[in-house]
Amino acid sequence: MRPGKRYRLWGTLYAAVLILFTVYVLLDTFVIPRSYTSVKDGEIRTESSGGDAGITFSAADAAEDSGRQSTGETSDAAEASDTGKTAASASAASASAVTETDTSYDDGSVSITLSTTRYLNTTVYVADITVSSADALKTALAKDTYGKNITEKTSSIAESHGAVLAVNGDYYGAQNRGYVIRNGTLYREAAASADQEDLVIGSDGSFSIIKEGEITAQELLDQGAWQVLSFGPALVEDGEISVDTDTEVDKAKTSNPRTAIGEIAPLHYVMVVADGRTEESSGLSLYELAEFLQSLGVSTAYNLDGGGSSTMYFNGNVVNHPTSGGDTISERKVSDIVYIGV
Amino acid sequence: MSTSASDHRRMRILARRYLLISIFCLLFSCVYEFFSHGVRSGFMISLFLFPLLLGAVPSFLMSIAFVPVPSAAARCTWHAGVAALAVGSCLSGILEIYGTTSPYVRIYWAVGAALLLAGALRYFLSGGRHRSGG
Repeated sequence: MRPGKRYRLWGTLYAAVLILFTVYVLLDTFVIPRSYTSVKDGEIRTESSGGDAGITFSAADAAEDSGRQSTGETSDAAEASDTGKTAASASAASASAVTETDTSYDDGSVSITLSTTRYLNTTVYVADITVSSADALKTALAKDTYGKNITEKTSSIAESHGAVLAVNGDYYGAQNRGYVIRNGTLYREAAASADQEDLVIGSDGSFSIIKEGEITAQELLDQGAWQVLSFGPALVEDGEISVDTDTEVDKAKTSNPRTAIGEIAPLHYVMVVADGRTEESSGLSLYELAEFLQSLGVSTAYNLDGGGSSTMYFNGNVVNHPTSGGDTISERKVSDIVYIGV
Repeated sequence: MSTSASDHRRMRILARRYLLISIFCLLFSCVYEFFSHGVRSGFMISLFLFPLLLGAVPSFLMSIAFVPVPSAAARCTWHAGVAALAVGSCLSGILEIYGTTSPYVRIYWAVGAALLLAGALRYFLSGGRHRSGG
């Protein structure tokens, strides 16, 4: 074979390998689902790589082992399981005492008031939440499975868990690193970076901000962390805005849909979702979001996954206008949610 | 060591091709960034620099300078390295804008750097042009 032909053939083969490998990387990153751990029927099932069922233990045991404290009337039901089945039965049991409207919910142990406000040319949805037990503040994984590219709409996860109110979580599945602790179970202990700020929700429902470089996930779990969300950054700490307009990265400066969660006082929280990327609602920068949350009186507030993921669900409906697929109004599938369950 | 007019012409053509690829990469970056809702990625923005600085500029310099042109084997290896780095940069930009990561991206940088090194070694160790073609 002539050298010219040989090199052309080599180049063609190399280009084919490069294209195929790139397609595989894209599929692996965005499409191919990989489940590592499933949470079904009150049990946490760890799947080994060999296909064996692996370790199985109950969520109730996990809760007990983690030393979760509960103070309210619904604590027993909530501790028993986080599954939709139990939540639904708990909901049915307390249905007679529930007072609900399009913008409020009150069952004696959980009180939620939903309000919509205009702020800097942006529609912002604020859910003011008071609970009598820390157990009411929960998280759930899409398809009850911890893994990569395991996604479901926020509303779908919320419905299957009997949530009254829900917002999207940290979309842990889009990252390969960053602590993941949910409902007292450690799923991922690989740190994203030393400066990565995480929101820690303790077993008593208190909020705190940590940096992954300063403490390990196992230490957090040992100290009673019930939920750890790894997105960020922290917006408000000790009542002071903790994001800086000068040091923000570009994506933080830009107006976009946002989701945030904050603690005003013990067992008194706010969940905030800002619409964006539309003519009606431009969205907020992180600093603007932090200012808004500070005005609500939060002591601690944390930024969750935003953009097309930003979704708020209340009483069976998506209340905001999620913009997945650019500026198209539709709900994006996400890895996880934060919700108020009864 | 000598170079012919045809060698210089070949390098000019190569420089033009790399320049066109650079322009395409720049347009691709601009369009992608335009639809990324203000999320910027240095990898995406600098995508066009790989074919420009590693392809168009060296090819153009070789077309005007009295230096030996690389052999077809050295050129092939070098092209492959530039392609790996450019695709790696593009992919890194896409992932960064989306807000995710992939452990496979580092393979592009490693393979690209290794191929560039191999191409350069082939060129310098052979003392320039061995044979044309490819």
